[in-house]
Amino acid sequence: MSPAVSPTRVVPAGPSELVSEAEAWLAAHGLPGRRDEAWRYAPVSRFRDAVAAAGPAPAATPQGAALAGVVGWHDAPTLVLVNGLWDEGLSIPGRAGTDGLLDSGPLRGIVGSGCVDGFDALNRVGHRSSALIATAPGAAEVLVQVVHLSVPSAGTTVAHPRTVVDVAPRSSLTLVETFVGGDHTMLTNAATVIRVGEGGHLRHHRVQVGDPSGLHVGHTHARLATGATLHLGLFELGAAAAHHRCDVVLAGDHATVTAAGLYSPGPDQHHDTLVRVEHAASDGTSRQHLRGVVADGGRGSFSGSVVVDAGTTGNDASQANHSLLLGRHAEADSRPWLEIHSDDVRCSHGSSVGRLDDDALFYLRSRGIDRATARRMLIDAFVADALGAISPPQVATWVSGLFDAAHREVPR
Amino acid sequence: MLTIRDLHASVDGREVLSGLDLDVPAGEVHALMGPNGAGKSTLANVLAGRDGYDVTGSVALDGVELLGLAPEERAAAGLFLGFQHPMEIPGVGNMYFLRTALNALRRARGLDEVSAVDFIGLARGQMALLDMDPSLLSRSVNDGFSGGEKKRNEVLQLSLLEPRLVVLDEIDSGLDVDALRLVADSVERLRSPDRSTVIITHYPRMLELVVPDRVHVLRGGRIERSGDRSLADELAVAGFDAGRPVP
Repeated sequence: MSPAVSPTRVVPAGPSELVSEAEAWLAAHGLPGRRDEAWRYAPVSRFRDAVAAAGPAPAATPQGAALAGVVGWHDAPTLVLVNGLWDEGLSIPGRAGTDGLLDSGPLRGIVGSGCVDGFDALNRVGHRSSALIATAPGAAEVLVQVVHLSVPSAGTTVAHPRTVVDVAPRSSLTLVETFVGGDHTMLTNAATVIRVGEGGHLRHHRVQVGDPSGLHVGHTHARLATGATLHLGLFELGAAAAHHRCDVVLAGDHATVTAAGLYSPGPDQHHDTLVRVEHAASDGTSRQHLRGVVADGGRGSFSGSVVVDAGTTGNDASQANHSLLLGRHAEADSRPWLEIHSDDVRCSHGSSVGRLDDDALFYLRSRGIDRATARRMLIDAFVADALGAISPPQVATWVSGLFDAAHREVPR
Repeated sequence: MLTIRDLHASVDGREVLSGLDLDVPAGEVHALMGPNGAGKSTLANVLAGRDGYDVTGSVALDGVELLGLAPEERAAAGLFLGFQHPMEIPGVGNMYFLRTALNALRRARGLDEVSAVDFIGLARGQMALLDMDPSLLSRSVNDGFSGGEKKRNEVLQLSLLEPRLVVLDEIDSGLDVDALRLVADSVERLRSPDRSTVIITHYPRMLELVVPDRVHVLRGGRIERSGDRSLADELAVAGFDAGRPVP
């Protein structure tokens, strides 16, 4: 019998031609700036400055305590990478017999060609290893975790953590990918590359809970084959400035993607999330349901785009983005983008930006519930959809706890 | 029990309450009537501590000055306002809300909190008395409730929270005859020597079912007339202008 998860392994940096491709791309295009549409709401100069000043983040040995507070271990095989390098001591191996590296051939197939932007290219050039999670065809549901820990050292540094996820046909995987650590001297420039094979199913929770002073740039690329499903849980809960872009291509017919989640910038934090779904085949379904809870002095933004290619039929795309502002100096931006090249398509989108309802707050308080608890109840109600969609339950509880901690000024 | 003295309240510089005085002794039920715009709902909101009013004067409940207290502190002091338009709060479970409120008040009163299991028993018992569908407990607060269900949910809260002073703002509006009777029965059932009730209404209908000890007419931001229950009967026949000097 084949093991549920074949390799949960770390492979050396990608094949040299991929790196040289990215180098060429970077030389031709450079890093993005404010004028680049995808970076319009992001503090891109902070990321650029960090890259200009930085050396590569060296290998580091973290204290166990650095992980204890934020990482939920979920009783799952766990790969820990520190500054993009595998830390065998901290990792929790999978079951016996789950060895077996994929060679660079399949890796190249997964990675594909073309970089989304300069930071994406920089990850490809700068990464020193990849966490690789691959399932065997037909394997039953399994839970795996990857933890990327950024550890600062002298001077400004950049880490390039990279994860490759290969879900074989008709297999099923739940992956929790967590980004922790860093500080104001450190940029974490991450990339995750996902392939879901025919009839495969991936539930991927991406949880960015880096140090509140840190910088984070992330790219997620996903490609779905016929009948594949992908559920993306996107959670931005840390870093002073975070930009995460997620590109999903529904390459086979009857593929389904749901991108749901939450960004919750605290005071002086800035979270920018982009999701782009391309319906490149027919009868696909895409859902984008992102929510933002923005503290006073914080800024949150979401850009969601849907592209329906010419020659496709029967696609169904919807997009919803709702933000809750928790103070007069909270700021939210929401930008939907539909690019439809087919007549046979169903698309919808909606967005809202609002504040806590004073009348609801008064109603709760008039029953004896103190202001902080009443606010907490209304915020919890607002995020219930985003957090309620997380499965399995222990991961849902853990993410809820991280969200609570991020909004600790409002006690439960 | 409730002593209001020289209460003034204004919104955006417009005075709505203009030196209102009112006494409601312990154990009594008072009706507060008056035409639209007389300031009835403003009085209810000011008593409960809603933001947005400039308020002067004094409101004492059992000797405790309420003005200046936060809404939750007023609730802890024993005040309960039944809302004319109860808020719908999607995403906040009704049971969670009710138990959080009950336990907040119990803590404030130095009592032990009620466990989830005990609470369900308690709530179901009260809901049966109100002929409420038990499934309303597992829905969001008032979310998608009919008008009658919302008002019953108010009375359910009233029954569970056991306040000292009950202010019901148009609890009878939007109720059919059967629902009105249930609500009135509950108000009667909750009548006790250490609880006072103020029923704000501009329909006499409710007062046929809950017999008030005193009836007041609020007009122009103050109590214009007071009398016993016969005043309600008189108003029912002659309207609020009866007995006023012809201008």
